[in-house]
Amino acid sequence: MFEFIQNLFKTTFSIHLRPPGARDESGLLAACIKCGRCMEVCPYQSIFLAPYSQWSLYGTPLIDPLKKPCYLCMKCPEVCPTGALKPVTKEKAGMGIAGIIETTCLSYQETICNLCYRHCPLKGKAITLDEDLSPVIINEGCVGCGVCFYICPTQPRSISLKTGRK
Amino acid sequence: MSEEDWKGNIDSRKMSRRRFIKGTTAAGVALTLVGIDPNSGTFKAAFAKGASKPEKWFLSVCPYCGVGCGVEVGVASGKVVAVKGMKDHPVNKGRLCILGKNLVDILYTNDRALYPMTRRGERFNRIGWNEATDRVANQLKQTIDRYGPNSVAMYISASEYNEEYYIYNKFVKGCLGTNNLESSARLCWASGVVGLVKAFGADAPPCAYDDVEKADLFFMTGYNVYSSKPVFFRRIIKAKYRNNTKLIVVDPRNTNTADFADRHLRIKPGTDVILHNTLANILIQEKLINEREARQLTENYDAFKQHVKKFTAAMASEATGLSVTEIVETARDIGRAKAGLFLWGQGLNQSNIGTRKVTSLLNIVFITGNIGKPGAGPMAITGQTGAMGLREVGGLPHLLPGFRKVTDDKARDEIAKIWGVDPNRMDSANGKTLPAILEGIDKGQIKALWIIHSNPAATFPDSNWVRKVLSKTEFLVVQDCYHPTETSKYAHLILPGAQWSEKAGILTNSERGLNLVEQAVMPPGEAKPDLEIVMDVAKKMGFSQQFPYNNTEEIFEEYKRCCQGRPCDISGITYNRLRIDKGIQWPVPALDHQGTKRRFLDKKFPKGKLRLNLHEHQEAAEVPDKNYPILLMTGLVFGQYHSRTRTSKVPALNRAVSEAFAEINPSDARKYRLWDGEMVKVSSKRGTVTVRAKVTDSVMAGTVFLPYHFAYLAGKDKAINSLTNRAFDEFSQQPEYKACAVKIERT
Ligand code: SF4
Ligand code: SF4
Ligand code: SF4
Repeated sequence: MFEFIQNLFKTTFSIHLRPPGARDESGLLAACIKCGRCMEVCPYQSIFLAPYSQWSLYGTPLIDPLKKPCYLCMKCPEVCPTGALKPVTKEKAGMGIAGIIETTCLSYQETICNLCYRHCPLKGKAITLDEDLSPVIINEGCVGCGVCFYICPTQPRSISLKTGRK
Repeated sequence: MSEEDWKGNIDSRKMSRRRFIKGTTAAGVALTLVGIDPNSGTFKAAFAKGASKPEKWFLSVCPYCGVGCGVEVGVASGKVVAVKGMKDHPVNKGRLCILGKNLVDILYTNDRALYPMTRRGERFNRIGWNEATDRVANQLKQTIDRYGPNSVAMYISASEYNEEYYIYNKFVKGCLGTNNLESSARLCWASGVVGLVKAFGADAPPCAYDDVEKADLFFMTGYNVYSSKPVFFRRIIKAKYRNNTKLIVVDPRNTNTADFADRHLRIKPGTDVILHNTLANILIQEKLINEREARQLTENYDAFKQHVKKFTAAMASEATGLSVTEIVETARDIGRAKAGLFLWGQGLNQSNIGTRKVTSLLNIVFITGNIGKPGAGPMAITGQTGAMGLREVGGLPHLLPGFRKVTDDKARDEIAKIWGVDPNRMDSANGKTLPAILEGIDKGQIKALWIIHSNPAATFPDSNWVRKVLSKTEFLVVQDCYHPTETSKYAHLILPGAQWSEKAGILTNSERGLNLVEQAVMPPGEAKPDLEIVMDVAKKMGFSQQFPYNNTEEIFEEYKRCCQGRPCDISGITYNRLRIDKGIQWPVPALDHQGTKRRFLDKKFPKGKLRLNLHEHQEAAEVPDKNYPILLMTGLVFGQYHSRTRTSKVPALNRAVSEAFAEINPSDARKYRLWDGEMVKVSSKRGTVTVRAKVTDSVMAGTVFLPYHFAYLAGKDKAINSLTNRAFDEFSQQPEYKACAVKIERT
């Protein structure tokens, strides 16, 4: 039963990120020709094309950070033929922003975890540690790639993720 | 800052939180919300999982690293349902790292070994205990009758309890009459320990964890503490921020630990001896040490002074790739420190000159007088939780209980008397180390091997060769709590052992602190505590008299007698006392003795004076060449442990590192036209792996880093140790995992 509720929530409300370097939502929808090249080139198979059920987005690239986040290898913008994804540096990927939920984060509860910090592709720029070794997101630097969100070991995750360009 | 006060720093916590909140509101960014946070959806499921409340709590210790954090194990209806850090434990004060936090998951997996099993062709068939122990007893007897006692060997892990080591020792050395009892500590801290013995004259970890708060310099070399000993590292960092302790990290990689360093020396891999000798030379030349004191402490100061003269900063700079200023300033930092704590890890140990690297570091410790005072000294924290106990009990081919040597006639007599065996039955020569045991199987000298909770097919270098050797063994018994493992595949007989929480005993941590581990639950299926299995076999071989014990406490009481008057005197310890005096540090010669926090405060050393070992640098056994131009280093990643027999079962840990990877420098990536995230082939003369490329400047150009956790169970072409080289330290026989030549190719 709980499984069911869990899955229901996951499928209905999971967050979808746009690949790095994507234009703003309307710009992307206008420019994307749904060729799927970004999906093919992603070495981590992070990208999928929106299914028919998401009719307004159908065929455009999405990333579900609960299944596979973006590791910021920056391969996909390079192959986009229309500039719907613009080639940018990692720091400008602009996919969203993460936040630590301190009430459940292990590092705030006497456990040394810091997996989010250790695995962040922009370690030090997007996330840092305070004197207690608890993680703190640097809002100016976080690009919302979803890696920390994906790997956070707590159930539910102790990281919130919002999507959208800055 | 007081020693007890290291755990909470409320002010800084508050500050960071304020900083965080301020940061959030100030974020002037427009966000498009496509989906809502799914966290709310999983919340109830999480609640459902933790539904069964623990009825009883048991004392225990985390079974992973050598720090030895105290844990409490919560049990409900015969099952472990919860684990929490022990609040009143001196080592961790309630804290754990995520390995310790997720211990419950390692117990109830579907690959636990539940019954004794015997091989029939490629398959394993279930048999009864009686048949299984009969077979072991008969086979060992036959082999010894035909080929002599030295044709059998036992290979155990260094994560067992002292009582278990004691029983294995008594059985192998006292009853079978061979000293071929080897342990996986060989792969992990052998060079470190041999280094300590060479310098101190005896195995002697002098420091206490409490020295962290007393030090004003941390010198860490080849040691990624933040990833390997997280709870201890937090204490270091707290002390660093609080007391402004200087942190110097020497590491060719930009490790997580190096992120925190005040000075990070990115040394060219393998050149540590040169660096250490040069630092010593500068310390002497610039008169940063007290020569009179150094002469008093050590037996050969003047010879040493002469020896290091040729190690000039200019020469070292060329060899190590560090700048002259970096080296000189580091020496000055060491010279200025009032109390320096020197920590090292596998970066020094796992090398063909590991012992030299360690002793050359100890030289610096000694001439600067950083010994026998609070806050100073060499701190050796082992990778496995039972490694200190292993040495005390003598679970190694050259030792007997109480740090006695097997080659010492008097020692053998003393122990034979306590054991109730004939001293003439015991072998007077050192037994075989793991490299020698495997070689011995290959050459047909060793016929029977009994492996307990260890996985050499995954962890020994050149694992393709190891697998060939294991499949050649005439009689291979694998006693483990999991099946299959890389090693159990080659067994003729599988014996289901018990693991953490399923057996009782005492663990000694890396600061000589003793802790009681209570049995919280019964082992699953027909699995049994490991020492019971060994005792069953021993009894069937006619040694009932030697093993009359009803519980582990009786074994401990007998073991205590071996330690009387020895450096590790624990006469004042009982099981009951350990329930209150957690982590009390040996020597504890009497019941009213409070334990010994720091040794050698009186500067009385085992051999009178300390020894400075004079060593030269030597290249790794295999250096990059035209065909294999890249240097491979292996190491650990946070959240995984050794060959992953346990950590691979914990879902929470495996999202972070789910597959093997190779860290490659961007310039090398460009050279080989590799993109981050692509699969890359890494091969040495011995094997090939295909792993994901992780392009990062945390490794130097011309080097790659691979995590050693992955072996055949992760995939045929994922066994990292199929690449590594079978080269060993001349003194310690520890394998060189930190250097071999490889090439990388696109797939
Ligand atoms: S940046 Fe790389 S990992 Fe991220 S979505 Fe694009 S191709 Fe995939
Ligand atoms: S990964 Fe999750 S639990 Fe771990 S420190 Fe980060 S937010 Fe906290
Ligand atoms: S630091 Fe070591 S002993 Fe402590 S919880 Fe982690 S692995 Fe266990």
